[in-house]
Amino acid sequence: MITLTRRGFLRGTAAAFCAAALPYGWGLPAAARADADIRGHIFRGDAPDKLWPWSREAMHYRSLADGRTVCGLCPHRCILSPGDRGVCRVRVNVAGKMYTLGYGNPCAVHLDPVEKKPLYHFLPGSRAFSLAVAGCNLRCLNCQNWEISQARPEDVRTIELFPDQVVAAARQSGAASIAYTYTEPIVFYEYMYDTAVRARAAGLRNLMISAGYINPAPLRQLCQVIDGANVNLKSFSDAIYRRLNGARLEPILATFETLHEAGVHFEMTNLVVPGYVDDPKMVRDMCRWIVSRLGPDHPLHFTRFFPKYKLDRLAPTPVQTLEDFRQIALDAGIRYVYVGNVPGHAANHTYCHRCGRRIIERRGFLTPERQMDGGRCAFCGTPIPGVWDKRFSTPEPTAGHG
Amino acid sequence: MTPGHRGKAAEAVVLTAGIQATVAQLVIVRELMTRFSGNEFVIAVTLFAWLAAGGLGARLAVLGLPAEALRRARGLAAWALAMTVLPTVTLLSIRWLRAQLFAPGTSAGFYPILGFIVLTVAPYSLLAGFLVPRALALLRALRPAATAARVYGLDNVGNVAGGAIFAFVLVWCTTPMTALMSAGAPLLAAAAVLLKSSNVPRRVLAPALAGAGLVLGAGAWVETATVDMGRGRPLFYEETRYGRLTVFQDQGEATLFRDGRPAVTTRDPAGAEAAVHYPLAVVDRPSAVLVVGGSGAMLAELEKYRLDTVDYVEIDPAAVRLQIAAGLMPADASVNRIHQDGRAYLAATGRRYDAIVLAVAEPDTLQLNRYFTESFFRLAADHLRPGGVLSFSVEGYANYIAPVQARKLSILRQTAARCFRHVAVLPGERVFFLCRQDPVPLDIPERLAAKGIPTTYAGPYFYGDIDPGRIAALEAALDPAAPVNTDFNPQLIRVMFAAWFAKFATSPTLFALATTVLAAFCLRRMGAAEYVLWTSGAVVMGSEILVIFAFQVIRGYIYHQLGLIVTAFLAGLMPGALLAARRPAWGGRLLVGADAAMILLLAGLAGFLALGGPGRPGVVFVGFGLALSLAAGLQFPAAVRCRGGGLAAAARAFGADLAGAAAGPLMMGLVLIPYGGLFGAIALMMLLKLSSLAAARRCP
Repeated sequence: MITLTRRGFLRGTAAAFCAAALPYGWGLPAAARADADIRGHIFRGDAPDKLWPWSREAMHYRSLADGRTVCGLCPHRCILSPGDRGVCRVRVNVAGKMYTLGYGNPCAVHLDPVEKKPLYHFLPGSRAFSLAVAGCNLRCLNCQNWEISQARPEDVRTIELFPDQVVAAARQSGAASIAYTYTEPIVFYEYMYDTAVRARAAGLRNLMISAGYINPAPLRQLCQVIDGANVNLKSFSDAIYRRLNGARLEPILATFETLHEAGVHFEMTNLVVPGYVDDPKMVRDMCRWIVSRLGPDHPLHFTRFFPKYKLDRLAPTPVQTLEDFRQIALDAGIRYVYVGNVPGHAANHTYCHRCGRRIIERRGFLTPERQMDGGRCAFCGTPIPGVWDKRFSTPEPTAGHG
Repeated sequence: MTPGHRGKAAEAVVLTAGIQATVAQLVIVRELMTRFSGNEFVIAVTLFAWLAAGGLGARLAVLGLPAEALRRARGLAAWALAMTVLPTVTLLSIRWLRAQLFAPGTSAGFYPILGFIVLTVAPYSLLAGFLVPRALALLRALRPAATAARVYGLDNVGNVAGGAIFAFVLVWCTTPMTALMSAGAPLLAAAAVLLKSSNVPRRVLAPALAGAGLVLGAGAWVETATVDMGRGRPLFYEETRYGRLTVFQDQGEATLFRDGRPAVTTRDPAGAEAAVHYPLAVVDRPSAVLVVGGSGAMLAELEKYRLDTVDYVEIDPAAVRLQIAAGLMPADASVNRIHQDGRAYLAATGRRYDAIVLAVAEPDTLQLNRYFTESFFRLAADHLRPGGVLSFSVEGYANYIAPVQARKLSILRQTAARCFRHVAVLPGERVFFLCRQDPVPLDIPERLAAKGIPTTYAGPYFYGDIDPGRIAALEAALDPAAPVNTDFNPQLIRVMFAAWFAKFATSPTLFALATTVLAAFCLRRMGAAEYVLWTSGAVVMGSEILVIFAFQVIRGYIYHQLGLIVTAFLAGLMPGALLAARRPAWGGRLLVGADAAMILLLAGLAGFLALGGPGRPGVVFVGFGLALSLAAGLQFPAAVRCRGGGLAAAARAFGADLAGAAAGPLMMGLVLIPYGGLFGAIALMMLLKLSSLAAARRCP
């Protein structure tokens, strides 16, 4: 047997501690401090060696002389050397050119009620052909779709559905619109844009359900082809955006202004996460900003948080908090304010901002009663902001099977 | 004071330190489970860190220190005094650092948890391991005839006593801090006597003791303030045998947290409606319903059906009491509340039900896995009336079925399909399983409407969430060749582990590599005698985990009997060590004989598990634990003698035993049971002991 000296033992002990500390050091940075900035990072050398059929040269980037590329799509502005992959996990630099790996390969495709997005002022009762490609430029601790948003396109199960096929499938399903949703559609911008162009030509509407972390130039281009959006305003604090979502506030506010200027119908969703986003003063400031910069007509949804993903040790938002915030928003002048994720709540219905009468009753995703005449209140004739069409009635319940 | 008095005081330090160590370990493991996640990883990693650091401490105790320093009673007393307060400091630092290092409300992945546990637990466990060889050195200086077996035995008696005191006394009437205070007081007294016997001046002694006492008391004083885990106003806080319950009120709405996770909250109709109305909608005229787990909101939904019988099984009476007190559960006498393990209740009752609603937490521990196995589903099927339904749900997905999720759901569907002719799986963020011998109609909203049951979620949202497209997508993702989850081969557990790692985008590979390299490094440097002790430590602790798991499968979660089993696994060590100390002539034969006995005992356990029926007597597990620990206890003095009998030999032996004990739960909980099943795990332990047998034959 080898005799152990004191020095040898201490050396061994030190090595053991280093070995134990190595994984800790590896796992620690993301959670090193409770208020850590969780913004994503570039994945060095993670681009595939060969492009696959679901790749296209990216839009909105520029090449540098040394082979690097600068992505101009979102505020991360990733500078990628050849072989690197961006924060979103979708855009890569291959041989000095930037490519998207998310083109024609959605990982989730469903037919959803438009109310589920949530969009309450956009063709109520209609269905949206909804699709997503893996990847996201945010890192929300409470992501509902983390299995696909925090994954690379090549790591998930996908189906092949190029833009023409999407449009054909959407038409066949009877959907009124195509929703780019579930993950973050900004990261599959090229696929969304090309599909939206074809959908428009085929008489379908386009909906973007997004966190809004995009630069103004690509957004302006997109605004030409989308008809509606629900954009998350996750908080009104840059610090909270950084530690809860891995993003910054300013670019998102700019997104709202761009959408507003472009005349795109959009609704805003604020998920009220207890302990992060439930400060009444912050909500008051947020509502004031909305009214002053975007006007009173864009619907605002305060939705109830339930434990999700990594944020699973918080209680759900008290309903009273949502009701208080709704009142703050109404007092600030926002005309259509909803309470979401609370089944049966009266603030799920739409009330005319002028006469106060209920003009759309919602029961779940159904709208059994609508008192609207075109885009106007049936009681007082006031125009209601939104996109309306009489053709879409309450969806018929689908029969189940045994 | 005479050397005799000093020796007695030193022995008292070892004994009381043993008592405190067990209590501190149990309290800290429970605390870490409430702060992080209650799965086997946290338990195994805590025990691993604890025992490995203890083993390291034992080795450090005698290295490089001059013999004179080892023999100073003052030194030992000072360490004992530090040990008195360290558990309280550890607990406070766990609470404080958890809030500092992790974002509020978040769970954590494997490596951050591992790092956190190592950093917070190591100081105390290093010291606990360090103390025993130091005490032996002092005792040998005072009484040359003092044996390692006696000191080792005293430590074990302390451990046994600590375990018993915690399980049968402290857990009933104390909070974590007061438990630590109670367990620290005897050690403080022993350290005080030892300090006094070493002629420490009163001006030093009094402030030192007062300071230690103050820290212990301060811990209890800040107990409630530091337990905080929710937002709003704390309404109730209670430690029960089954975990920690806290209720917080925010904006007038209450939430009950179980072990730090929100379990029941005011105004959450969606979860309660889905859990109740999906199964009851498919039964034509339900009259008797059994709810296992679940919430007060579910009981309120059941009232809509005017049932004859509602049996509600919840193991923890305090959970019901707090829910009623917080307005989360109706104080309705028409519900039969049964405070018993759900599976044990079902096995014992002769009642039949129209619906059994299983609403326990996710099957991410071996304990909860028991509710998702073929045996349990069979039990449920046997307790259903014609046309009855069993329903349960697990965490689902929003829009995409990840492979690991599909695997989990496939295993559950295949397992349920062994006992029910029709199993409907409903997609959603919670995936519901409706299991019947008759077809399962899925026109749930229409059925609820026909029955006149008003709902705000189950009816109106149904087709938006559960449309034919999503049902078809789920059906396509389910693997008809998935394995069946059984009691003794818990397929689901390994999937749950994989899902946990996937959520945090990490892999245990690096940890497995690091521990394997470390184990190889240590084993290479071990002599044959230490290897025997290492394997014995691993087999005893590994078997303890296995027996606890098997016992729960067979008899349910019965707190006192589990406490008895844990005690049995410690209780044989001291008699074994004393017996062996009296038979020095047996030498290496004792190692061989004890190894052979352990192999036979493991074979016997396998036979007992394989052949016995549901009525297998629990006393066999107690007897197995006693016999196994007795065999392990026999080996310690023999191994020390094989290595020359000196202080260094004793410290090495103690370190090897602790290192083995550290490896045991890690191997058993994380690898052997999930991947090999119970019988595979027993077979691998027998192989380990066979290798030890070969090594033991080399000992003189």
